[in-house]
Amino acid sequence: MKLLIKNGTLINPAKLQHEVGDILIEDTKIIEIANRIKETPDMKIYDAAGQYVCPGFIDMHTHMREPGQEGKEGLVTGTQAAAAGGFTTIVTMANTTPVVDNAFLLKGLMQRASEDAIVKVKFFGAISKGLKGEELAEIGLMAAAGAVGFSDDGHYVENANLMRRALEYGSMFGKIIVDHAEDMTMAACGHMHEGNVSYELGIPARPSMAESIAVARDILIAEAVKAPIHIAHISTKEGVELVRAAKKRGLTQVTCEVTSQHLTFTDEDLKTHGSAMKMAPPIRSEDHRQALLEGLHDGTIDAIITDHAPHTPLEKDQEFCCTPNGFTGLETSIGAVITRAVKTGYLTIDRMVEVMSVNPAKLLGIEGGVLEVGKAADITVIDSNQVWTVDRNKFYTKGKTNPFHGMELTGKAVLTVVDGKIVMKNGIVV
Amino acid sequence: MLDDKIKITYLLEIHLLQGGFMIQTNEFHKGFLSLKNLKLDALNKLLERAQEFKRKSPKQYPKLERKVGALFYKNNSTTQLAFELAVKNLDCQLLALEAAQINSSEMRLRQNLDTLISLGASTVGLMHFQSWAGHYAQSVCKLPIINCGDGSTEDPVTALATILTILEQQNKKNLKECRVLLVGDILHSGLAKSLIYILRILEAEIILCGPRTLLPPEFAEWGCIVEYNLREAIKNVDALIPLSLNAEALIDKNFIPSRKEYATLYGINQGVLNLAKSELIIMYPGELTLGTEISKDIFENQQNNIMSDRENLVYLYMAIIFEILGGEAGEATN
Repeated sequence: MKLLIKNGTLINPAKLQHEVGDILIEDTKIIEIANRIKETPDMKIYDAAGQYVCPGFIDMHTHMREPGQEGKEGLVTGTQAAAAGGFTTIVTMANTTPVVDNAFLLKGLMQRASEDAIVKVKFFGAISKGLKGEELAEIGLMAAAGAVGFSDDGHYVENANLMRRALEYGSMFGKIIVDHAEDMTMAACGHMHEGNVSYELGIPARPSMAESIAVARDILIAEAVKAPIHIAHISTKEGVELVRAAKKRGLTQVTCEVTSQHLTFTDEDLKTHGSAMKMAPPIRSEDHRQALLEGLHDGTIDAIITDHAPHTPLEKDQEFCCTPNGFTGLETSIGAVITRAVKTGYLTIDRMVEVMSVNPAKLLGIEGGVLEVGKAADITVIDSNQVWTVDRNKFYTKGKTNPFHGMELTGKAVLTVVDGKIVMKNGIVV
Repeated sequence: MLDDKIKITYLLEIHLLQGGFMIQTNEFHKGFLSLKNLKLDALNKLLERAQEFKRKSPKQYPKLERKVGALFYKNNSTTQLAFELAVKNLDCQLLALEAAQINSSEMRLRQNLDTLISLGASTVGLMHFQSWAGHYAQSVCKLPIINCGDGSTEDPVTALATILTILEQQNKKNLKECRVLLVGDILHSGLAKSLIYILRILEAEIILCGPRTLLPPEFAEWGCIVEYNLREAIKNVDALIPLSLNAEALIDKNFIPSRKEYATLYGINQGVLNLAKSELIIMYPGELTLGTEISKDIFENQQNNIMSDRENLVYLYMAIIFEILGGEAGEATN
């Protein structure tokens, strides 16, 4: 069976392509890309007129909570949410129960994903055993088993020497090391961004310098050992400035990402949304949000992620300081980015595809990020003008507590194709 | 005849509507969480109501005969006593959960609130060690919540009692040209936030003083003067409010080095008071540790004007419960 996606505008930055055209898919591969492809009776047709046809979006930072925290999320619901949100590949973090810090567990999970997931799932291994930040995990064996990178996400690698060794050692395998850059001696007791809003609410806070100090250290180590470092969910203007300066002095190995949530909300919104908006690093003030948009605009920030971090509604329904960090993002990310970054002129649609598909593929060294004959047919089709209201009750994820609920967004994924198979059409997971 | 019937029904409806409407539009029916957006007339109404109760003999107190819930996540506080006394004074039944029970990890705040609702409480007094817990409680509970202090967020009723005491002392309706000094842990004090809000409404000049770690300079943006030297700050102020200090926790987290150093730099003693105006009003909330926030010698000097807000606290809780449960309209129904 063939699938023809016709009349759409192909956004294919890897090939410097931005033009109206058709894509023909057979089985799992793209077999033809042309201005006009003739329809034949054996083709299923999708008319993408007025829509953008992009290489499949890749979210390089999610939490699928499997194994051990299936009450929060699982590979089935998590990948359904990904498909619904327009992602063809997601990468999940190692902070599960038990921690993914060995090849044995990783292989089991990859097997699970091959059975249950409806989009492609890649895995980060832990940097340290049990995420304890004390001893290196078996990075080489996990790399051989298929880990795409390593991260203790959720925990900052406090021990500078361990970070140095992880960068040196990890670089042998050509895998990315991702650090949750937040100095916990400063941030551990905090629940929100430190500033006037935290003073008003009286909530213990996480200062922005907790991040910038950690970012600075990571950059210095990466520079000294000549190995790549990727800063997870950068959230501060100082952090962005440090990465910008590093790139300026030629440190191409320093990269970073931002969440669509940090581009959308500010700490003022917390007064309305409460624990639904609680995450780490915290949602910061407007000046930081502006700096993140600027960082995206000038290319300092390499990728947009969701940090999809589901929790059960019960866990989120408590006194603010008792609730866990994180909320879901897969199903709102494209809408949020188009609303906050594209429509506001910080990103062109081509740059958006770069930071949400091309760059993540490049950083992780995985297939994707390009529309090309002979390559896997992972495609995301976006209607950038569709205005819709977020309804958490329609979410596929188990993590329904979400500050986007009730918000009007512009732009939405309308078709998700993974390996030639339609997994989502018009918001409905197939 | 028919016309008359319709007319009577109509008038009755209007009457009921107005009665209902009065309760509905009462600014306190959605709970009493914060002083931040309190209007001057609402503030005056509460203060006047409290003073009215103060003037009356207990026999003249209105009998509300309702059930009032109490969730105090801190035991044995003077606030709790004041709240309970206020409930009893208004002839209401107190539904109080034991602190041990409400602190159990299985019993969440929401469940405790549900329990009080199911037992017929009309309003709930909540004191919680978690900041912003009042806001959360009100967001999940349809009953009006009375915030009796939620961590570092606010302590609105104590602030009202403090200010009422100062107003009574000054024999004034507002605090224009009055300089009020708050000393201590501004950052973690819910009372300080509530005081700042109410002092702003009353147009007082607010001076904040405390260690830099507990008083971020950003508080200047709140319309306050920020001063780190107590001996400078104390000059020319009309009222002084020392804030209670959770010294052990603050030492533990490196906000301050020791009790002794705090007492030396920010403790209120006779030496400090000698730099102040002679008619200075010193508020003594009662939860201060002698020798840390305040020293014993100031009680020995007869000239010092040391005031407690505890009596007014009872009348203010009465005023708030009274207003929340319908005020005059509620009283008429009863």
